[in-house]
Amino acid sequence: MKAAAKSDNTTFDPAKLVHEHQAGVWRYLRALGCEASLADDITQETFLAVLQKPFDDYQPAASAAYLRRVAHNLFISHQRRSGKVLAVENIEEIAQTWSRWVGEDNGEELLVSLRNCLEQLSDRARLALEMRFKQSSSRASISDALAITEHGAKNLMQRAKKQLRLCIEGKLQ
Amino acid sequence: MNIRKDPLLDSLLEEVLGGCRPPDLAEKILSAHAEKAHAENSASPGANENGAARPFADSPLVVAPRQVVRSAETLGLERRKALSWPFGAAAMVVAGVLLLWSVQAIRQTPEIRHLAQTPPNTEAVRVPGGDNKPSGDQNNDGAPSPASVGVSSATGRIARETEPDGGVAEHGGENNSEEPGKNSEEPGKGLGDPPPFATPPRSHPPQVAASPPQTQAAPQKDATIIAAIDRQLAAAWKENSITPAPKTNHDAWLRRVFLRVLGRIPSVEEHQRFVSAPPGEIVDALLQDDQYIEQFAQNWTSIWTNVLIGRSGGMEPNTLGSRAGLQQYLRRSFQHNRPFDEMAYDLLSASSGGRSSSNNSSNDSASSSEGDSNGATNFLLISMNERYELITSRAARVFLGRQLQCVKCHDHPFNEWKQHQFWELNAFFRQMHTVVDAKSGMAQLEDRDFIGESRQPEEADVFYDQLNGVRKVAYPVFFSGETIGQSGLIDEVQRRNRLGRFVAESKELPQAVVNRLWAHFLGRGFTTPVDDMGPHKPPSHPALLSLLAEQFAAHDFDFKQLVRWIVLSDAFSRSSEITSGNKNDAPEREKMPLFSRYYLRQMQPEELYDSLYTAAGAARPPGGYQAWEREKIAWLDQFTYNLQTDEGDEITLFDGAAPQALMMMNGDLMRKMTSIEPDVHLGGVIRNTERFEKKVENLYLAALTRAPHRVEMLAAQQLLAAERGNTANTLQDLWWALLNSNEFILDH
Repeated sequence: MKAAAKSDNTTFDPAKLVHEHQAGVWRYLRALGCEASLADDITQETFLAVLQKPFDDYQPAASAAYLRRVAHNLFISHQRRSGKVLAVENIEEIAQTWSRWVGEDNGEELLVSLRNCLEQLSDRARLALEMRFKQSSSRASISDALAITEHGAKNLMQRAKKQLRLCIEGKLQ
Repeated sequence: MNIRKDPLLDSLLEEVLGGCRPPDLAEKILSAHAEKAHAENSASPGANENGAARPFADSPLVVAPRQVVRSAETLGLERRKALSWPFGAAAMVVAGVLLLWSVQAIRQTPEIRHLAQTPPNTEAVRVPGGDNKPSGDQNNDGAPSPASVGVSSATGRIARETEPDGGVAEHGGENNSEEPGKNSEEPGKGLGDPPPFATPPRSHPPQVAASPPQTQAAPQKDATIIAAIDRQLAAAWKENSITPAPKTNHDAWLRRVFLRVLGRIPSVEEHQRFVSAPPGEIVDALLQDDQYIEQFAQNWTSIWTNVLIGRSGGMEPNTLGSRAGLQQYLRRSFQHNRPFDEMAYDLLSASSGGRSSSNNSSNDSASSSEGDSNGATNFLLISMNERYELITSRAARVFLGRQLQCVKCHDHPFNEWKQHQFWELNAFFRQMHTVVDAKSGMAQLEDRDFIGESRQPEEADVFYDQLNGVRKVAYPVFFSGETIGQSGLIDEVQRRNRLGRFVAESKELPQAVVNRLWAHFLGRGFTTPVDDMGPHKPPSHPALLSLLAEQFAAHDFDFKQLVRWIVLSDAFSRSSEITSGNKNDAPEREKMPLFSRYYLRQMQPEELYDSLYTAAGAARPPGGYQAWEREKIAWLDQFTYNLQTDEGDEITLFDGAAPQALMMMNGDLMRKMTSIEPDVHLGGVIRNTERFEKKVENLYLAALTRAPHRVEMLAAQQLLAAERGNTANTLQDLWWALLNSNEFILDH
């Protein structure tokens, strides 16, 4: 039988699946709002759930989407169990944005875009964000360093983040 | 979790600026996976050494009681946890303490205690600081008191049920060893093929089936009902200026009726047998002939298993229940054409034996005292989760045609279902308890006293939280408002038995079944989806739905009778052709279905699997039904993924996409079916001495249940010429093309 002569006998490799997708799942969970330790746990749970039976890893994007969906559900279940109030529409909005921003990789391209966008910020805005996210400085420290009020520091960082969003969206088009 | 304003961007910035990179979890994941796989291989209840699902009865089930097996102490602990976590702020903690204090005060005050013992729809526990509405306030329409409810509204059957011992002896009107749900085989041997089926023992124990819905109609003759269906559909066509599609030809109808009733296409021999038979005769044969009873039962077992627990239900390694056990129960029920209200009762009230529903009903097939042989328990076992939420939503969907899963957390924003309705239904399942038998290692289901989340068995309550943080209580209240009191003591009330009665006697049950079956046969239900019925979703043909539901109930929930009415209706005989006269009948464009044509659809994967075997004439694997099922499940597994949600949601890749196409083109199953070995149909056709054109015709009949058209025959002859007269190669290519054609995979 000519047409049926070939069969895809490729064996499924769990290690390959984990290596290829763990960073993407972890980042996705972080984007949903997980702390790092919780993201670690749910990432592991996600793969263990998916690996319960043979997984047809025929297309990386499809596998990534499936893993994200499982992670998403486990995250929501976890939040429910722990009694956390979830604004589902926010979660869904974040999930949609993530799908739009992240292509078929694990988010590496997005990080490159973000680095480029950071360079386009003003020095003061970049400094404020670096103090906030690199040094975990308080708003008071940031305002002191920039010689502005705390409210001004807050506004500066909000504007900077808005600019980053626009920049990333622009790079996607 | 830190509630951040922009977690997406913040997480990225933390990574880019703060160096919070994803850890390498591969080693942890893979070692945990390996350990789990090892543990499952050595002790899994659901898999044998070959990895195949192990029959229920001989499973050395070593399952630690999960959260569903909750002792009184556990309940207390959970309650304390549940009471503390929602109140993070100090003020809320104080409110929680006040709540406890006030609940206790209410119970300790005789006058108030008396009030609290009245049904929840008249006076529930009042929550300080809450809105103080009783949980059953929506049903406060003059429901009877606890002393009378549930009994006064029920028939003598229920009255007998509640009597000790003697009354229930009458319950088992169907006391014979062939009874579905009552396996005379020993545990561990219960999953082989049933004994050869002789004559279906059609009996109707009055205790279960005698109580029809309140809107009982007189049973009418088949011809009258079918004529009424045709009349009502024709009236809708006229009203919508629709000209129905022409009648389909006999071959297409034959293929269609086989596919819908038996789950597979007819073989060449069956085509020859029925080629000139009238439809009524064909339907009678499919429903009544000994030759087809087992196939009918297997097909509907497969369908209802998927409806009840999905395609992946019971397949998880640590599941408490057995898919095979449930299938055994369903198969026997369909073999004997067990009335559907009895099946619903069985599936909701079954116990493995011992106390509960079986202690008073030794002859009750639903509660066979033969313990693990009662396959109906597996629906409950598989659907049990932490707070019995999954079984609640499944019971509502399957038996009542109501989707309540959303209202678990909040009142439904778009329809009339309220949060208290979910938890009131949920309260019926709270006596359910699983234990692992130390001797056999198997999970068993039994009812025990439910002490309530307040630890007061006389007022065994269930707590639920509203979105605004108010904690409310629920007691068992059926969908229609009937109550059974608040006690959780099984000596006073067996909640699941009562629920089974309510469901079996409800008007929702026949409507839900009719709607589901109509969709199975006609491609669309009266509502879409079929299990989301109610005032928010009026059916496309309300009078027709009511008629069929009433007649289904009036005919003692005779499943085959319902099948007969639908497949002999005019709508089922229409072609799938879209014409200028019926182009506006377009449910695929969200329009109301008018059933003026047969809606095209793809075969379900189970149907494709069985049809491929039939077309190819391949021998089934040795080992009987269970071996066949195991092989089919393993094949289906490639298309089904459980999304691990609370509702057991699944996705299927059997949707015409790449995995399905690849399977059809190159999969192992297709290679087997297109083999030219002598033990498959193609091999036989190649080797027979008929001329080429007859061989081609035979292949068309086997795959498409019709002879080839002239152009198709010409194409086959051209192919033969291109192959330089090599008949075997030509026929093999032609056979592969036929099995991969749209015409083969579509139900048209």
